[in-house]
Amino acid sequence: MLCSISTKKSNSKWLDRLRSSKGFTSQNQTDPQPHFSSSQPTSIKSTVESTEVHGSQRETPFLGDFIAKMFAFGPDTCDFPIKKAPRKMPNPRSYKNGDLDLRVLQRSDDCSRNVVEKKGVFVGGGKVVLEKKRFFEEGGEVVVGKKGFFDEEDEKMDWNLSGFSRTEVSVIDTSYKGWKFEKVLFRKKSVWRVRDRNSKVLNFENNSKTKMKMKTKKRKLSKDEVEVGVCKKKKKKTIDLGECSLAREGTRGEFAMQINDQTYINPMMLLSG
Amino acid sequence: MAPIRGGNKKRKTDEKDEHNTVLSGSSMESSVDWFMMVSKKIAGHSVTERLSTFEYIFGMSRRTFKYICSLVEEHMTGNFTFSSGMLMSVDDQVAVALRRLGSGQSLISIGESLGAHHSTISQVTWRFVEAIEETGLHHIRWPSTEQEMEPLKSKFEKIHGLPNCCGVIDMTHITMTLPSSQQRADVWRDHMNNHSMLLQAIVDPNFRFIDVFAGMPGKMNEMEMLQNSNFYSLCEKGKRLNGTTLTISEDTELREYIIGKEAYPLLPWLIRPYHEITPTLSEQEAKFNDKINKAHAIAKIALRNLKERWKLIQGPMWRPDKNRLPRSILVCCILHNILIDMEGDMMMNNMSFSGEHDPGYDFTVCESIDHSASVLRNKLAKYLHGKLHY
Repeated sequence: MLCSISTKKSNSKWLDRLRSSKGFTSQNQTDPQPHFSSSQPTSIKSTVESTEVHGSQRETPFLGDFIAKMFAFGPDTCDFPIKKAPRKMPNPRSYKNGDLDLRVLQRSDDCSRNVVEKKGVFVGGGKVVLEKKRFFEEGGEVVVGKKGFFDEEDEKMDWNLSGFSRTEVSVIDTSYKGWKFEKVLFRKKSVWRVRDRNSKVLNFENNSKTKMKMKTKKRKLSKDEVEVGVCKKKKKKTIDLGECSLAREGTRGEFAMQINDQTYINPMMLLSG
Repeated sequence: MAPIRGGNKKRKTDEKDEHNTVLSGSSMESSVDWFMMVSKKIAGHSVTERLSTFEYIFGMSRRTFKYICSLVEEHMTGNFTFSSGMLMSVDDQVAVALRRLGSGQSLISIGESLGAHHSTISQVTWRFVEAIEETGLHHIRWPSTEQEMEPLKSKFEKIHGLPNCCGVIDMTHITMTLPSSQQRADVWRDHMNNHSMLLQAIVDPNFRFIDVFAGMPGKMNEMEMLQNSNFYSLCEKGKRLNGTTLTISEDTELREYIIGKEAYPLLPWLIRPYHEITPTLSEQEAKFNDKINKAHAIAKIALRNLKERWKLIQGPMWRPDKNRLPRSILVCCILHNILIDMEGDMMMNNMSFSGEHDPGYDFTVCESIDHSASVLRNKLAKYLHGKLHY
C-alpha cells in the first residue's frame, strides 16, 4: 500500500523507542510539525488521502513524511538536524542494465516503485509499448514512439541512456519547411531514441552563453516551422511516459510520480528541499 | 637502354593538354563543338551516329540541360579550371556534375576523362548539389491543395482502381563502403550485413517523388524509418492526408491514404496488403492484394529508375561523407523529378519497369495493425470486389 500508515496507536511504545533511538525526547516533542513546517506540499495532490489513513486530512501528509523520515528511506535522512544532500556523488557509479535506471525512479520511494513494477508497462510517446519483462531486461529504456518526444526538461535529465550507442546523423526530410537536420540517434538493440543535435549541447555543456545561443536558435526555428508543429516550451515541465509520468514542479525540486491520474509524492525530495 | 627519365610523364601531360583545350572555353550557344567533344570524352571514342544524340550522353534533352543550367547559374560562380588552366563555364560545370552523379564513377576516373583534377570534380559536384538544393527543391513538394491532389487521386483510380489514394511509400538502401575505422559501426550495418543509408520516398502515379526522407542508418527497418519521419507526425496529427473523404458504403467514409508494402504498419492513412501467409485468404482479399501490389509497384519502379539513372547512389559508395550523402540523395531525387517534369513521355519510355531497387534485400512483415484501419481495409476490399463484379 502506498505510504500507508496507521495512527490508531499514535502513542505506542515502539514509536517512543524509535524516537529515542533517533535522538528525540518522546515525551516533550509529540508534535512533529515544527520539523517539517517548510515541507508542506501545496501543489501536488497527496496520495495518502486515498490510503487507509484515519484522521484529519490536514495531519496526514506531515505525519506520513515524518514516518518516512523515521524509517530512514535513505542514509541522508537518518540524522538530525537535516543535512542537505550533496549535489554530486562522491564516487559516481554507472547504472547497470539490470537496474531500473531512471534516476528519478531511484530517488522515489519504495511505494511508488512498487506501483510502477506492478503496472509494468511504459508507453513511449503513446505509440510503442514496452512490456515489463523487456523493460527490465533492457535496462529500463523508454521506447520513443515518435519524434518530438523529448522536451527541454527531458534533455537536462540524461537518464536511461546508459548502454546506448550514440550516432550523429544528417537527415533530409522534405515534409519540413527547413528540410535539413542534424539528429543524434541513441540505439540499444532494437530500441531507438532520436533527438535533435542541439539538445546534445544543452545536455552536456553548462556554459550559460551557450544555452542562451541555443535558446535563441530554437526560437528562430520555431518561427520558421510553425506549420510542422515544433514542440513549444511548456510551463509545467512534464515528461510524459503515457500511463506513467514523472513531473517536476516549481524550483524546489519536488519530484512526484503520476500514475493513472494520481500523483505520488517522493518524501525524500520534500525533505531535502 | 634505360628510357629517358620523365619522358612518359611529359607525353601524358601533353595528351591531357590537348583534351583540355578542346573541352574548355565552351558555351551552350556555340555548343555543337563543345557537345561533340564532351560526347567524345564521355563515350571514350569517336562519336558515332547513335552517340551523337545529346540525350544518349546526358540522358536528357538539350532543353532540360539548359533548364538545369538556368537553375544553378547564379550559384555556380566559382572559378573552377581544367588541368590546363582554362576556366570552366557554367555548362562545363553542370556537365561535370551530371557526369559525376549519373555515372557514379570515381572522382579520379572522371577527372582523367574530362581533363580536370579530381578535387575540382568533387568541388564542382558539391557546388552543383548545393545549388540544386536551393533552387530546385520546389520539384519535390507534397500537393498542398485539393486542386493539386485531385489529379493524382484520379490517376490512381483510373489506372489501379483505388479511390482516394494519394501516393505509394517505399524504402531503399543506399549501400556504402566505410573506412576500416568505421567498419564496426553497427548502426549503419543493415540486416543484409551491408553498410547502408536509408531513403524513404512517397511516389505519385507519375513516378514523381512527393516526399523524401533520407539519412537514417541502415539498421532501421521500414516501420522505424516511417515513425521517425515528419510525414508520420503530420499524418498522426491530421495535418496531412486530411483532404476530402469518399463514401464507399452507407456507414463508411474513406479518407485519403497512401499504400505501403507489408513491412509497414496498417494505419487509417496507410493501407497495406493482407498478410499472404494466412492460408484463409479469401478471393476478395487476394484480389485486393493484387490491386495494392500493382499500385505499390510504382514506388519500386521509381526507386529503381532513380538508382539506375543516378548511379552515384546505386552503391556501394566508396567511403562517402555521411553528412553530405543525404543531400546528394535529395538532389538525385530532384533531378529525377525534373526529368519527368521536363521530358514527360520520353522519360516514361526510357524507364525500366522490371527489376528491384534493392536486389537481394527482403523485409520483415510488420505485425502492427490498427483496428479501425483493419475495418476500413475490409470495407475497401469489399467495395472494390463489388465494383469489379458490378
